[in-house]
Amino acid sequence: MLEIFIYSLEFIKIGLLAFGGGLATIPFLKEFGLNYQLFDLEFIVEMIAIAESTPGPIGINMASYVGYKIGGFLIAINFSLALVLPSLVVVIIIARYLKNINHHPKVQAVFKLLKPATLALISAVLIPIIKISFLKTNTILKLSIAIIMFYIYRQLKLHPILLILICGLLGLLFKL
Amino acid sequence: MVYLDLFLSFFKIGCVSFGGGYSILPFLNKHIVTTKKWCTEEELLNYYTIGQLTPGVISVNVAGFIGYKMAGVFGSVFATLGIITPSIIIISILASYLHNLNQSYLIYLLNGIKLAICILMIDNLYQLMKKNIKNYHHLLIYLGVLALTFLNISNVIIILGLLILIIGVKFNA
Repeated sequence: MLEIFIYSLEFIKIGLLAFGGGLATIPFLKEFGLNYQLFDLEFIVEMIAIAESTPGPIGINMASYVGYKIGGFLIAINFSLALVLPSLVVVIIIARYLKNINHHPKVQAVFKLLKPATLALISAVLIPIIKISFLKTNTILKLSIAIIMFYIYRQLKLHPILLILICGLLGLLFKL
Repeated sequence: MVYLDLFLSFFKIGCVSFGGGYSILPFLNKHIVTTKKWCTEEELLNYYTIGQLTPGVISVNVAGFIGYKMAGVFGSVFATLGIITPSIIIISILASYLHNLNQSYLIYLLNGIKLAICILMIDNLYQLMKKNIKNYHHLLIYLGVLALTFLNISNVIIILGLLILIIGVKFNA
């Protein structure tokens, strides 16, 4: 019982300190794992690989996994909620404030200039994603499939989820 | 009821959020911006930008912002719950049935899905860049920030620095 309370606090702490994207949680997760001897770095690396492939950010995946192992589904929910609690609070505070200042033309001008920056950050994160997706095995096969599917996706205006399903099946088919 | 709507919409998006917060951008654009019209593409990007500065996971933050915009505090809560629930369920299932998360058929399936994610992200990014990088200023900021990321500088610092720069320039000009 006490463990669960302590771990919940730890996850709240991780949620509060991890800025700037999913991978930011990793150093804190590593510390948590080692301090309480729950898991080691190798496990985290496995989870990163899984987190690339399972829905959801690695933080939530880790919180859920550890929670589930300790106390089943309810504790998985518990730890995940602990992780996002700081985010929620901060977001609500900022959103409230934003509502009041958003109409100001100067604020809008600032946002307009920040947009290319955000696009750059997205582009930057795309590079390791592409590396992980294409460069490990079957690079040429994956590239070929991707190029063909890209073309089909554009031409037929496929729904994104359909694209995911088709690519998933192709993955099984070609043992990518 | 808007709370249920928020929960379900973000639940759907949470189900396909492979590969991190940015990978859901295409889905957010399709579902939230185009279908539900809960915010504009501009606002969505703004949330992503602010999300760089807020603690925690960006997909959760963006969901929170949209939720708040639609329905205040509870909207925020339901959107957040929506986006994280699929993960919790899927991981719990994986944790209970698979002792080793490395089953080969899962890996093939997921590798295929990764390709789809890349396609969707590249396509969406391309569209966004066409719309938002309209002059040399924008291009300069884009390339500058991109270069900074290669130096392993944290996103938070980059955005804060840029923010200070922009505010400094705007209020001195």
